[in-house]
Amino acid sequence: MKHLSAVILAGALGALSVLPSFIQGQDYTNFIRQIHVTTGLQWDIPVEAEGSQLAPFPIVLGGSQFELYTVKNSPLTSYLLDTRYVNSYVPVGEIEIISEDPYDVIPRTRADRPFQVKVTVNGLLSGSSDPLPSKQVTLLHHAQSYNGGNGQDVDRNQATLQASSSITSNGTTTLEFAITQVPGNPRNRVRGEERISIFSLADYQADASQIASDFIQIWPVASGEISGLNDNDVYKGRMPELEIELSDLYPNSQTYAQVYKGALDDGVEGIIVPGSALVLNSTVPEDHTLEISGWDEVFEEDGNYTLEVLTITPFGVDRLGSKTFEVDRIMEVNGAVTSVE
Amino acid sequence: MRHIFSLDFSSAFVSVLLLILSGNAFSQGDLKGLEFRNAATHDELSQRLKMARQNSPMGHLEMRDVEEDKKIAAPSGDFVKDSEIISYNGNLTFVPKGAVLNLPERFESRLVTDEKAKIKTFSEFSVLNRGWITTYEVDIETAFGKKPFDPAKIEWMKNSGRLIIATYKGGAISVLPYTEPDSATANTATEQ
Repeated sequence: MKHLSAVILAGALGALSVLPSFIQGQDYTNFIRQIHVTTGLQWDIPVEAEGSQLAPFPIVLGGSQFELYTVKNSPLTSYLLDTRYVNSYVPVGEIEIISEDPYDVIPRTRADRPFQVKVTVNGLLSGSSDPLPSKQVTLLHHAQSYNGGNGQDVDRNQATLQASSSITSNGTTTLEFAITQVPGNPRNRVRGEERISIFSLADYQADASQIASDFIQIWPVASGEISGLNDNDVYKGRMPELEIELSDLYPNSQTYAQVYKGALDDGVEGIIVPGSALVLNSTVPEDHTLEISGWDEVFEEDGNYTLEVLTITPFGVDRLGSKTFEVDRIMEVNGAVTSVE
Repeated sequence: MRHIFSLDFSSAFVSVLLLILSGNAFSQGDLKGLEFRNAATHDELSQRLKMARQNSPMGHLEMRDVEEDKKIAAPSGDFVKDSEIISYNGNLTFVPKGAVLNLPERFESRLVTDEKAKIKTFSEFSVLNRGWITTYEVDIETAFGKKPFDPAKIEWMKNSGRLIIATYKGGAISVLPYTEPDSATANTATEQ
């Protein structure tokens, strides 16, 4: 019996976006299962956490679905991370999502940033007698909101199909996404994911099945609120206590408050307010509240000052809030000293 | 013909690092060269979305009927529900349904879920429990139900007193019930 074989490249697990940012006491193990589509016969592929090997189980008539799962123990739950349909005449495909954020575990970006998708298809036939599923694949674009969450336990069956197209020629095509289409308002607070998938056409052996897929997570634009300072106020005594509320700080960000003399301006390197710096290296956005007191040392002399809150991300520097005020602490005496004998 | 596809995942990395540093210990770095902006507002992004929708990223491809393609089912699977679970002594593993060739009555209580157990691959689990688990390597035709088990082997399994799991090249595999060949019916698995 002749068999087709599939080369599997299996890397260590990476797609953990559905999981909580803290995983403590959890046990995750990866499994790859090959399923013969027409009979339902299943085989668990013994693979190491990283590496590649020739899949020895043949791709017999009817094709096979390869499924990659990670399973956690408490509660016992499996997460389908990827699935690929392989058949003798079905083309193969790859999806590559490119973000400005170099985070290499899961593609991610921010609600105001563009991203790029490269779609590669090979093995498409073009003969007049070739079956239609061998000559064409379907490209799907889905978008889904996390509804304020972080994607944990998201039901991807609820994703909204935004667009679909046919691909009939081999090679790589590039899709440019200028801005996210994850649904929701306000637009700077959306969070969710966009998925690009390649599906085979349905035929007598199998329904339309996924050949390749990838998704990018979209996180909100951060925001900041400064309390305790008012624009144009004059401060004569000790500087007031501040409260800085920070929302949706990007998972890879450095955020701080700084002070400089003069009016609001871009790109000024001021004096960092002590106790105001936060460095995040995370998987999901975070909220924080900073309480600042005893920051008088920042002001070496009287004058007009600006305090601004900045966040530095892979996308540049964003100003989250600012206040402009005057510091006037030197006591001036108007008068004359005389003596009377 | 070979099909090459990639299940390409980088190393698992989930962590949160939060440092609150004093102003002296934190350096802004060189802000020059970085794009500087006010954080984007809802109105700005709404306008950009409106413009983006006029130029679909897939607009240069042959567009299809979205309503029709909404019927394409998203991949779904539940590895836990679709597997036979074996637990013992604080460890747990999964095998495909139909992979259990022999289950002595005294081991029936080990085919249960134990959420406190540590998950092991079948390979690891079978080594740890080699005192009562045996693997039995089958060929493709037997797995597909095209070739029956040797009756002597069936008798051996029944008398072994061990949990016997069908494997193929070391991986647990389900075994379909044997079906008498019918010359009028096309084979499910055929030579290509």
